[in-house]
Amino acid sequence: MAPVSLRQIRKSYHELSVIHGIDLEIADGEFIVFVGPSGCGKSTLLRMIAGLEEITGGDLTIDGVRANDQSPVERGVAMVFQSYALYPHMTVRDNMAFGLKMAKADRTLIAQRVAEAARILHLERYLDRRPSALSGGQRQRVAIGRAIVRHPKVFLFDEPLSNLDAALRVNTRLEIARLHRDLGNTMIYVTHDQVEAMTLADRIVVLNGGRVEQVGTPAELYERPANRFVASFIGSPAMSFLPAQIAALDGGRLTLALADGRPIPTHHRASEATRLGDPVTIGLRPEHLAPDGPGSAALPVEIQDIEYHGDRRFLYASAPGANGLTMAIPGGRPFQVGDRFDARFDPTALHVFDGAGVALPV
Amino acid sequence: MAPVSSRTLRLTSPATLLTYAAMLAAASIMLGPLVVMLVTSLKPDTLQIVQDLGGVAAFIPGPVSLENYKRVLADQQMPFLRFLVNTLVVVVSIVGLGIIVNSMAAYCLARRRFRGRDLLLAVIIALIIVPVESLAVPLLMMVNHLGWMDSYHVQIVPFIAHPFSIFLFYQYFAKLPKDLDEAAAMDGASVWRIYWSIIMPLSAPVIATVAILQGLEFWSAYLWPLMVTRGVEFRPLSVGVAQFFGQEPRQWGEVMAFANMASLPVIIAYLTFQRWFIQSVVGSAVKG
Ligand SMILES: Nc1ncnc2c1ncn2[C@@H]1O[C@H](COP(=O)(O)OP(=O)(O)OP(=O)(O)O)[C@@H](O)[C@H]1O
Ligand SMILES: [Mg+2]
Repeated sequence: MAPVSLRQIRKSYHELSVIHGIDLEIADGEFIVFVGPSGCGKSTLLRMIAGLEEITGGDLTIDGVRANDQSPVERGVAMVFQSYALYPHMTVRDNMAFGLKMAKADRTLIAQRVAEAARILHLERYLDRRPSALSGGQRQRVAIGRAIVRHPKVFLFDEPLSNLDAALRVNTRLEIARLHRDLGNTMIYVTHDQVEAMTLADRIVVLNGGRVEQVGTPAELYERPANRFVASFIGSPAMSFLPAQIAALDGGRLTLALADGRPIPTHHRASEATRLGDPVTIGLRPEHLAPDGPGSAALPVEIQDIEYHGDRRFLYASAPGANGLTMAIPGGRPFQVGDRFDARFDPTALHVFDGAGVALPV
Repeated sequence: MAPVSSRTLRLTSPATLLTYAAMLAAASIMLGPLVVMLVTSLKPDTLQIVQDLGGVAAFIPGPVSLENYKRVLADQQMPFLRFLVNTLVVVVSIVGLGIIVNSMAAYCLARRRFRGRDLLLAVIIALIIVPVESLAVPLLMMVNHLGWMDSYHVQIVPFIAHPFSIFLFYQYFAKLPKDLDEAAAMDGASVWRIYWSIIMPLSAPVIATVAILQGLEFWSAYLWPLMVTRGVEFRPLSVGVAQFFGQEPRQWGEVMAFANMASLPVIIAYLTFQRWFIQSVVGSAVKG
């Protein structure tokens, strides 16, 4: 168990810079998730913490010790790979014991640790099998077991669930959450799946193009995204965006005008750079826009697509100046493609982003 | 039943018949000399052998006798067993040390990043086409200078490093997932340990291929051993066969018995490992 601290961490491959100076303080026992689109540098950052990738610049501190030049074992980190990377020629038992053997641990300790991991992960029956005789989920658990037996200070996971089918993914997600509760270790988890990020994380780090867009609890990111990138990345289905203009700045509160001139009073404040007539973007979560909700604002929409999800349906609609507006509605009421009506929303629930995509303060 | 009928169909189609005929012809051309060798070695009467050798009779076994074999084994001037032991020592050493050295070189090329790596790899691949014969004279001057003549190591040391083996290992290692190395590194394994405990145990097919290729090459090596050995003490089978053949008067039955015994170990080794060998050749073809 250990706090991890990143100060101005940078990475470049020759001339190509891929991580541009990341600062992050991870508390002891925290579950941190790195999330972001493909190629944003999640794996690179994780591998630098692991000790598999050299750190070009900045300081990495694990448990109070500068770790830049330490080996993975000295850092006390263990990693679960996306491909599992089990040793094909070794039994499950030997796979899990390999790290301890390398550390010259004595036999009774090894046996005891392997038994402990096997019990936690329900692998007792498979200890003498080779990885090729295991299912994907079992292999995944062996990979986790291999990390557990070393009693590391920090667990690192690189997209550990992406090779599992949907049902197993949910199961294993719960198991990882339970593991974190039981062991209490610091865990750093990489995924591009925002559902995994939301469900597992104490705090989420949203990365984009080698920079941090926002760090916060799942609720903070969902309710107060710092910019349009985070707003569109977190939440499923994604937030809908509507173009608008700043129509008035009465008493510090902004009034916006939609494409058709319709005024929308908000409780957002202007930032220093905000000027009358500036283009802005309104962001609306699917659950905040409804055919006949309680909201005071109205938006004329036309339904373009309908998706049935059992307990609810998603309506995809167009509005003046915007396409692909998403509404989440309970089952029941019949809608048809082509229906037109005024959708309602609560102006205090919306998000406003300025021309550069930065959220305006509330 | 569909697969069976389509199979019968294919067996009787003209194209199939032609293929089989061609393969049969090729097989007879290759097997013919072997049959003559075996048949002749079992005929005790030298005069009879010389008469038979001109025609079809060479293929037809007469009364079977092991007389030729007994005489070859009893010959003190041309000690078959000595030659055999020499060849075994040389080939086993080259193959054994070659597997270690060449795989280590290939592992570095496949996994480590260092300046000049690409150039080094290109040079090694280029070396594959350089025949040993063209290097023989300068090499001879070198070993002579070192005072290595007439020994085992003069036949072993120059041939341990083997460009084609390095290349085969390199290709195989390049396809092994890098995650395995990294997982082992996370587990605290050193580079040496990863190579030895993770990579090599997963490399049985390529080890078998390399062992067979390098083994066959040096089982039949002739020019170099002829140049560097004087007496029978360190002389291998390949040179022994030629020397035996050169004796006058020529005892064809014994020559054939000698040649038979010299080929037998290779044939046995090949039959034992051929499944692996074919597997890895096919495997590298498909994956490559
Ligand atoms: N060895 C390398 N040499 C050059 N560039 C590299 C190297 N490894 C990674 N990169 C680049 O670094 C960037 C970040 O890669 P990284 O693998 O960390 O992305 P990621 O966020 O994990 O993406 P994914 O979700 O697809 O796994 C990418 O643009 C990639 O092209
Ligand atoms: Mg990645």
